[in-house]
Amino acid sequence: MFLDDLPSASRYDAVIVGAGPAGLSCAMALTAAGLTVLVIESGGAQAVVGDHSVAYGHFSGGYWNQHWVRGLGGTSQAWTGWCTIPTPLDFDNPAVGVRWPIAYDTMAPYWRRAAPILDHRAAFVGYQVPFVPGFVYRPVPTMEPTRFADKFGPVLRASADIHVLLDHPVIALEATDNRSALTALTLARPGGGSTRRLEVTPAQPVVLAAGGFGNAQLLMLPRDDGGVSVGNESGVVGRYLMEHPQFTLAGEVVTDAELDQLWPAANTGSGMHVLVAEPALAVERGLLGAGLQCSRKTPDHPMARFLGAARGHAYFHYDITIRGEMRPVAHNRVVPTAERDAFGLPRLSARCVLDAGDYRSAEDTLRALGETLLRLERGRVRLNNDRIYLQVDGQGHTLGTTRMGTDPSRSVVDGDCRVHGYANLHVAGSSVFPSGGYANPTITIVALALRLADRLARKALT
Amino acid sequence: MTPPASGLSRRALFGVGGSTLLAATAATVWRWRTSGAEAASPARLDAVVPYADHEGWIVSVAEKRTLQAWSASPAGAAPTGNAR
Repeated sequence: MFLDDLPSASRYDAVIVGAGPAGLSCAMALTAAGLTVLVIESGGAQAVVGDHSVAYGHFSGGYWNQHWVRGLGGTSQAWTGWCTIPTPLDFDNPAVGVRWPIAYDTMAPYWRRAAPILDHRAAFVGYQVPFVPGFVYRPVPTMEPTRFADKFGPVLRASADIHVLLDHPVIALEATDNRSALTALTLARPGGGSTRRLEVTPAQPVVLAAGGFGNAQLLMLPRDDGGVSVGNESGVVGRYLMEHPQFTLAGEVVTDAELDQLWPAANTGSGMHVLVAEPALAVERGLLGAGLQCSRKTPDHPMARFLGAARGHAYFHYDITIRGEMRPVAHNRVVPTAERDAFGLPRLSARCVLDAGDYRSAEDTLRALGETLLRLERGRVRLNNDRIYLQVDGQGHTLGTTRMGTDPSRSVVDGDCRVHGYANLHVAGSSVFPSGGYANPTITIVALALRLADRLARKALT
Repeated sequence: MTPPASGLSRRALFGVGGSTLLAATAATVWRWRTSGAEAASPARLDAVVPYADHEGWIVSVAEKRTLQAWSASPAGAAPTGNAR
């Protein structure tokens, strides 16, 4: 049900801050396990973007604001609907230099559970077939995007176990003196007015699920005493910001393999043909994650005609857009500024700069495909240098600002998404990704939220 | 066209559902993890790349000559296609 005013937290088994894909997925999984949940959302029933940050680097100005959606449904309200899961290498790529503290195999059931929430077929998750030695065909289905407000709004309204409080931004967090547990959240209404204080006990889990920037913002909230922000004892919060760099039309491929024939017939939805380097090749060449998205088949392309005449069979032409990865580095970060946004929260300043290796990896992945196709006489690849090095774009993915890890001095949350040192403070969302891989993050965001809910429910019920 | 993975047909993947997917995922993980990631050999900086560049296309040297001749021929001329 939707609430008009703040109730006492004592009646809830868990409190979730944020009503986007991560927060609502976690809330619904908790209630399915028999728990009662309070969901606090800064925005209203209509999700909107706002002027919450200013940015520098490769994604500048108001770039991140376009992807920072406040309100019921959160960022799902601006999502394009693409779902793909990472590869095992994305969890532990030596070229990236960071390892997820989660065994890849253990995520499989959560990705399968996440798929129907996002209106995707579970059987399609992780589908891949060989393309040529060194590369696999790993299509990305692009179903109609699931708008969480539309899909789950009626469910929330009817639920007796999920209480949703809209239009209440969290503006302060309090903790025990020894920083072992969160003790209270202070809430406000946009536009000012009196604040409200919500007390929690160490046994009541609080999940921050406010988005890639919003989670960092909450863990960098200034304290009245000028002390270290709750949850940022390591100083890592806000650092390691990552996007998924997109190199649009970075190349072309002419191949004897008609990619349409590799598309699984059982999947009736639309999607993208994507080629991905296999781990042995990627490790050998020091490649970061990259999906080579092949699209816009051009009939009667000169190179296809050329090869076809030489070989006596058909060749097909595709444009390639590279969906790549950037290495996590500490200096790419968000920090609070002295300005306040419309919610009374510190406006953030972000800087996110790709390094030379990020570009080089995109080129080398394309080059590796070209060399392979040439060597095997299976096709040819064209590199469009300037599209890689001069026209990089992003995909609206906000990753890494409260990263997961085993070392409390270099990460914010542990492998269970619990803030290091705190008994009851957790984070859900792509902000916990220690590396970005190449895959679109939404299904992994939901999968991690379900995994967190399982852990919280198990703990609550024992 | 590259055939689907041996022993793992599309029907098996999509006609059965979850348990098959898990098996497929596990098989993939196993294959990827045992695919010789340690076999890396550092590329020599002075190594000659075994291909040529034709307007950004990665082609053989012979192909480049043919393509250059083709580009110079009247529009619509058929490629000679003698490269290997």
